[in-house]
Amino acid sequence: MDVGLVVTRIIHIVSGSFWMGAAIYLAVVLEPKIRSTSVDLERQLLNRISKLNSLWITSAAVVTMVTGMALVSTTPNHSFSDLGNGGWGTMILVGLIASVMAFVVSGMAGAFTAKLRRGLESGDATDEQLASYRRGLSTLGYVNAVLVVIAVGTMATARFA
Amino acid sequence: MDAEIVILRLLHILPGATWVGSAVFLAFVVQPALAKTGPPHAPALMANMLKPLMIVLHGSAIMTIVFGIVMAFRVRPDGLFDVLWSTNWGTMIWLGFLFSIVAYGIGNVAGLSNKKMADIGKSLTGPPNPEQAAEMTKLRDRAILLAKIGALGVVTAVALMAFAQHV
Repeated sequence: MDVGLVVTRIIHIVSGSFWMGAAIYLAVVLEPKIRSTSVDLERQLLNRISKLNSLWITSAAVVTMVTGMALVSTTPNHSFSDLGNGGWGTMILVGLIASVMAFVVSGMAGAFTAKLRRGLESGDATDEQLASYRRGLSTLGYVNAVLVVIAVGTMATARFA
Repeated sequence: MDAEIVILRLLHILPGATWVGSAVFLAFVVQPALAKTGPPHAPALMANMLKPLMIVLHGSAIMTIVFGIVMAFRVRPDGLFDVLWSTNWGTMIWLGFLFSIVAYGIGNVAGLSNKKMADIGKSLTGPPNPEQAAEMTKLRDRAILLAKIGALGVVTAVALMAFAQHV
């Protein structure tokens, strides 16, 4: 048994699961429910959890991608030169592209969160601006969740392709 | 490609990842933040969030467990129960199954504590009296602790299942 490969795989699976579950939880449960309560709670929660969210989710995403790269190069009979070739290589490449896109979208959502937080804190932003930040955040949250699901789905089925 | 196995795998892994991620995120990020925010907003949000949260967590947990069992029978059609106890693969699989069931049970108890806290929060017409505040704090702390234990249980289950194919 290759201990390094096993440990890397477990770290990859656990951090990837956290990334996907947190993205779905944020998009489907937390964001819509925060919107439907009070502006005061939205402001308090954004202050308390937005930086923590970014830290946890960004860390999980980075760990997932780095260990994923390590797995591609250490999995027996496979390497980076296989990416895009054959069933396994195509599925892994699609998953890789989806996960990088999800990471970028997640960063854009973080920028909208920061704008919304600052707008609510300072009171300078108009209602239209706040509504536009919330719409952007909500849309990017769903796009992010869909991309992470695609990434996990393609990676999980790659070895059967 | 065996289409049946691929579909079963997707139906097991996608809800499984949703369950793990949601449970860890709720236990280690959202609930502690809500505890710091405190009443009256935090219990109100928890009451509002409980239904979709339960749908996501129960739905993903039940799908993961059911399709996991179906897949285990499908990949070992010639006697799953024989290999469960006599091989390292089987040991990892039943241990993972056990952890996931226990974690699901603990998560349900955490959900009940949250529901009781949310019910007290909903019944308030003004600030809570000292007994109500103490009861809400006790229920909240219990829910946070149980949610953390449950989340760690699911992470352990995932690690054991992932380890199974290497032993």
